[in-house]
Amino acid sequence: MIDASLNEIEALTAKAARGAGLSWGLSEDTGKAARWLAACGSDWAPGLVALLGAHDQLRGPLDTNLHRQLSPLFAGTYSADLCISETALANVAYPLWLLPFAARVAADRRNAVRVSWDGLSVVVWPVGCAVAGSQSDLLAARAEHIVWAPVMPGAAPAGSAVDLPHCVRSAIRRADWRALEALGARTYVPASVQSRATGAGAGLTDND
Amino acid sequence: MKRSIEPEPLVPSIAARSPETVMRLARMGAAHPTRLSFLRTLLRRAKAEKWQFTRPNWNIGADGFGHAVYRVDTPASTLSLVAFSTYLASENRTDRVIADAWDSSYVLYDGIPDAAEIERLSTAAPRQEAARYTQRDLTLSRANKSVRLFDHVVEALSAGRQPDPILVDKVGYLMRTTAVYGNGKFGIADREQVIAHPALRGPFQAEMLTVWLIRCFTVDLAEHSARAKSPETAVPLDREVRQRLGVGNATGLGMAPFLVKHPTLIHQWVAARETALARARSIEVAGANEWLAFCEALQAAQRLVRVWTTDEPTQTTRTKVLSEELTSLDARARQLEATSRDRLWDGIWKWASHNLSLEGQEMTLALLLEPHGELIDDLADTMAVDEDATFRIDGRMTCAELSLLIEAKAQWVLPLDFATRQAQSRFWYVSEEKLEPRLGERFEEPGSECEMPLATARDLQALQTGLGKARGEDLVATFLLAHPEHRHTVRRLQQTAICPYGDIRDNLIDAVMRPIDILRLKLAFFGANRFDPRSDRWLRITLFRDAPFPDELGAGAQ
Repeated sequence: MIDASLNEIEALTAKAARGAGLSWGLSEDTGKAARWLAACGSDWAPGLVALLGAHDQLRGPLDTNLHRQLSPLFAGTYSADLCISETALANVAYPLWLLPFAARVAADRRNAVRVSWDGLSVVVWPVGCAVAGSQSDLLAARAEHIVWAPVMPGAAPAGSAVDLPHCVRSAIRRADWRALEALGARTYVPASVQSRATGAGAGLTDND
Repeated sequence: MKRSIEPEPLVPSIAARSPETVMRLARMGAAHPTRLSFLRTLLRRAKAEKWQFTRPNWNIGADGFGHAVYRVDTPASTLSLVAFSTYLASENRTDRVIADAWDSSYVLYDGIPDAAEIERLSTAAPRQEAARYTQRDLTLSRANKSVRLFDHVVEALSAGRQPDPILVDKVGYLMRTTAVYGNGKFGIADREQVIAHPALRGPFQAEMLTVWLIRCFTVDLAEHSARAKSPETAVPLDREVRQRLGVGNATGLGMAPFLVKHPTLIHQWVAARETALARARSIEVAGANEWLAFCEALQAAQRLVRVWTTDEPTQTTRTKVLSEELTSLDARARQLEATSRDRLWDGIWKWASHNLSLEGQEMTLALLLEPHGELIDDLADTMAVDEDATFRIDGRMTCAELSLLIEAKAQWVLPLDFATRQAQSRFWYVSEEKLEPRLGERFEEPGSECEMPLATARDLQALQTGLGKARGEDLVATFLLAHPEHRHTVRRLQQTAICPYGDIRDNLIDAVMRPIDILRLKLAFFGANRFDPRSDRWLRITLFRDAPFPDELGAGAQ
C-alpha cells in the first residue's frame, strides 16, 4: 500500500482522468472528487481505475455506449453545476462517485443531501458522509435507481448510519496507483532533441 | 503644517490600481518584494510571538558531511528543520530541478524527530523526489553550494580572515535551493495539516521558515568547515558579513502553471498589495517618522541595486535604469517633502508612475509601503483563501449571460488574433522525461496534443465562439454536458470575474511571451530580490539577504 497525501490523490486522479480522455475541466472535478472520497476514508481507487478505463475505451460519456450506463462524473458535475437538490437517476456506473458532487450541492445549499441506491442510503455534507446499509454496496459497479434528495431539517438520522472517518491520508494499493499513473503518463510529452535543448532553458552544471 | 488627528481610514479615498494595469506580463515581470511579502510576514510573526530557536543536534563530521537539527518553539507547537549534508561530485551540481543529487537536503518536521525519524529521513531526504515521505514532514528541500563563495568563505575564515566583501555581495549566498516542496508532494503533509500550526498560517509560511533555517545551516556549515580545517586560527563570520548572506534559489518553468491554476489565490495576494498602495496614497499628511522610514528604505534599495548583478542583457539594462531612477526618485521626493507633506505619498506615486520605468514604478510601490506597517500589515492576513469555495461552476447561468461575462470581464482577449502563428506559437506541456512543465514550439516540435490548459486567452476565445453557436437561453450546465472541453475555461472565467487580479491579461502562448515575467511576480510575493535571469525561462534569486538571523530577531524592524 502507498500512504498518500490528499493533494497527491487529487493531482494523480486529475492527470489520470485527462489521460483517459476526459476534458481538463472534468479532470479537475474528478481530482477533487477523489480527494473528497479519500478524506471520507472510502476505498475510492479501484472504482476509479475501472471507471476511467471505461471512459478511456469510449472516449465520451458512458450513456452512449451499448451498456447504456451513465457516467457518475458527467451526472455528478451536471447536478452540481445546477445545484440540484432533488433528482432521480437511472442506471449509473460506480455510484460512489456521485457523492462528492452531492457534497458540493450540500455546501452550496448549506443543507445535507441524501443519495440512495439499492439498500443503501448515504447522507452527504460538505466534508463527510454517513452510510446506512452495506458498505460494500458503496463500491457497486452499477446502480439501477438512484434517488438524490435534500435531508429535511430535523429529520431523524437513518437507523444504523455510520459516519465515515475524516482522513488526512489515503492508503492505495500499488496496482491502483500504477494504473492511475499509467493513464496520467499519457499526458506527458516525450523528450526530443529540441525539447532537451530549449524546453526549460539552458542545461548547464552550476559550479559557480 | 497641519497635523492629522483622525486615524487613517482603512477604506482608502484613492482607488486601487486596476487589474488591467497591474496584471500585465511586462509589469508582473518588474515586481519587487514588499513588506507584505511572505518572508517578511514570517519574520514579523516570529518576532511578535517570540519564537525560540535552538540547534539540539549537530552531527557533522570534519569532512562537512552529516546531519543537524534546528528546533523552533512557537507558542502553539514545535517544528524542526532536519538538515543533511552529503558528498556531491562537481559534475552533478546543477540548479535544474531535474538533478538527482545535491550538496544538502532538508525536511521541515512537525515536532521533534527522534533517532528513528532522523534515520528514516537520512535515507529519504538526500534522494528527494525518489523517496516517499509522511505527514510529519511539512516541506522537502535541497540546496547546492555556491562553490566559489562557499570555498572562499571557508578558506578565509580558517585563516582567521573575513571573506572578501565584494565576492560576498556579488554572489549573496552560500547555497542555493533548487526546489522547496510543500502541499503533499511525495507524501509530505497536505497544506491543511501545515496550516493547522498557527505559526504557519498564510501562504508559503512553511516554505519560508524552511529557507530561513537553511540560511542558518549554510553559515553554520561554513564556520564548522573552517574550524575543521584549522581549529587554531579559524574565526566565525562577522555579523555584518553574515547578514549580507541570504539563500539563493533557482526557479524555472515549474512555477509558472501555479499562477494560472490558482486565480483566486493570486487575486488575494495582488489585491492585498494594491489595497496597501491605495491606503498609503490616501494618507492626508505624511508623518515625520514615516518620511524618515521612507528615506531609509530608499537608501537600502539603492544599496541593493548596487549589488544586483546579472549577465542577462535585458535585466542588466533595466537594473542600470532603475539605479538612475532611484536617484531621481530620491531628489524628487525630497523636493516634494520640502514643499508640503500633504498628500506626499500620492504625490510621489503620481510622479513615479508618470516618469519611471516599470521597474522604477514597482520599486516605488514597495518603498511607499515600507513605512506604513501599522496601516497595512493587517492585509497579510487576507492573502490566503479557500479555493474550494469558488470551485463549483454556476451552471444555472445562461449561455447568453456567460457570453456577456466574457465581454465584461475578459475584454482583453477578444482582439487577439489566434489565426496568426505568432499568437499560438508556443505550447505548455509536461515532459515525460522529467515530469516538469516545459514550453514547446508548436510548429516545430511534436507533443502539442498534450498541451496543458495554460492558453487562457485562446481558450476564452474558443469558448466565446462555442457560446455563439449555442442557444442563448440554454443553461451553462447543459452547454458543458455537450461541450466538456470548455469546462476549465468556464470555471476560470467565473472565478476571475469575481477575482480580477487573478487573471494574467496576456497571451501565455505568444511567440514573444517571457516565462520569467510570470515567475517574477510570484517570487516577489515570496520576498525574493536580486533577480538574475539565466534565460527567458529560469532565473536565480536571493531570499532573506539583509534579513535578521533567528538570534537577532529582537532587534530592529522586520
